[in-house]
Amino acid sequence: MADVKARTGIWGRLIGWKAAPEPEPDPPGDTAMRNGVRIDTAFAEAFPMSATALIITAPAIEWARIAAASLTGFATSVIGCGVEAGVDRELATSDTPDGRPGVRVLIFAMAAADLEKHTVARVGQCVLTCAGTACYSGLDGEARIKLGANLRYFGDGYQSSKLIGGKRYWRVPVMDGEFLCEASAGMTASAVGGGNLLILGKTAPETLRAAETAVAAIRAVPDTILPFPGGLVRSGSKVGSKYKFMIASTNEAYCPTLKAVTATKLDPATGCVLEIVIDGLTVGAVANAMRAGLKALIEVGGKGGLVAISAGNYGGKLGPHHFHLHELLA
Amino acid sequence: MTAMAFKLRGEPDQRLDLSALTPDRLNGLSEAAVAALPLHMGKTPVTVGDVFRIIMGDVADIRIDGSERLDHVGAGLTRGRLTVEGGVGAYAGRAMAGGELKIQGNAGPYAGSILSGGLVHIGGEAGDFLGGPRPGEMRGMRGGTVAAAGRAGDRAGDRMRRGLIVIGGDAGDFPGSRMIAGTVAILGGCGRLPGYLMRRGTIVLGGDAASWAPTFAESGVAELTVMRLIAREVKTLMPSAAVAVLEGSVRRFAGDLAISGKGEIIRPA
Repeated sequence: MADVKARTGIWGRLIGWKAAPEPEPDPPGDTAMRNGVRIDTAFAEAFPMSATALIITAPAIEWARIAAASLTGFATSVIGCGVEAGVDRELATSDTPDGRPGVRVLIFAMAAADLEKHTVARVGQCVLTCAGTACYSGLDGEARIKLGANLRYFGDGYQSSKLIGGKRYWRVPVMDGEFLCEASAGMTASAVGGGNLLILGKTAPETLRAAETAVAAIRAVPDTILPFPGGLVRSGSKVGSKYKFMIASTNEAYCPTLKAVTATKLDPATGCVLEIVIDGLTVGAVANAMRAGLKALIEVGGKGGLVAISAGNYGGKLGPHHFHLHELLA
Repeated sequence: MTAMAFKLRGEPDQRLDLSALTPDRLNGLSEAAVAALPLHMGKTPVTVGDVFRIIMGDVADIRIDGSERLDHVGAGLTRGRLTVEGGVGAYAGRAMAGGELKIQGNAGPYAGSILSGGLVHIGGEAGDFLGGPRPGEMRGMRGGTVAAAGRAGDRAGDRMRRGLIVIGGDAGDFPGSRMIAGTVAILGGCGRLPGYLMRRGTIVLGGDAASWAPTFAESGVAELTVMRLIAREVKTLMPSAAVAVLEGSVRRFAGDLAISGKGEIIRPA
């Protein structure tokens, strides 16, 4: 599985660099077996990203969840969606700025300017509009992006600011009272995008069950998100296509139904491949998430229908962060 | 390192200007040099050594015995902590830009006058013009926080531009007069005409006022999330304050409509 590189979550970045070198194989090494599952000598190759965190609060957790789901919807890949976003965790009333239930979401982009543009747009469309909600910075990063400072203009002159505890907030009059939004949000340029695990199973139902177990384990790791639907990607892609208007297309080498008619990369026992893509605020957070996912998958084991666990990379030439599966096992 | 302390030798014979006793002014001075600093505001020369027994220590942590004849205590403070064991006279913390001034007793008029940063904490009552400008000055507080646990005199927050004033008890007449922006939180009631001629800003009033200007228009009842943040900030400054009433439904009065009407007085519903 060494040259699994053209995935939905990564091809966009590859194209973004306008340089798609041929991937190199992983360095030779032995595979490891754990509980009947082969752990390939592979590594996930991840990239620096800019990221922010927001805390959305509401009178009830349900409305905070609704706003967070709306804000993080259609945010699976930076190329197709502008940003990658997801829910980090739900917050108790004691952990939110206004003492109401809340949700912390993380948003990732390739550059700070993109992050600010898309964050403001999403908060404006999905939180400002959502009944009862307020929005705060959820990160003390090394830089700030504008948030309420841009959204305030919706107030059409009736907005007002408050400086409380050294932080500036904007109050925007809306039909249910006021939308309260912190003027800016913390940003880090040290975030990491593209951590991943490839899950190879015997059948689709078994692979999906195993992947769900891993997703649940990873979601407990703070400061990380899984931007794809349900935390999973099934549409691994390659760069290019037989059709000139397509910049990427399905990676037939990993489609089990095409094993008989393509140069497949799958062994005969593999009937399904699913991928987990991980973005994190730090290198350590991504490593912890991959470790948690690995552990959960190994516990499922061969008896649970798993064949192997691998990871996607570009041969180590594009992304500075390499998460070797065997090192994560240690 | 222990605090640098100034112990009164007796009640001062005249009003004194203590603006020299701040970390910036005392830094690097010998005990003799500190003792020679002039404090007098009248014709009779008075030095620190004449009034205080000096205990040298950390200049960033100063303790002073209090007296109502000590004016300008902590004036111009930019860093460190200055604690007054007792009350002070006028202009305590005037033009402070940072640091913390803690007055365990009462403060006279103009405490926190034209503050731009830092915290002035008054354990007792505050006089008139809390945070306000002197006559002729166009702006009051420009930032920072002033908290008085007891009542405050007239015109607290006069011409305030930014920052937070918290009054644990009642306020006198015209609180928030001519406010430009910022927040004045009065946990008790107040005298006549709160928010008189205020342009913008927020006055939170826990109780009632002796009289109301007709130029404030009621804007209904709402649950304002920002009140939760203000209540939390007040609770941080005054842990024993009953702020829960501010976190629920509140009644908003917009004004002063004689000016622009972009200010507000917020009361529990």
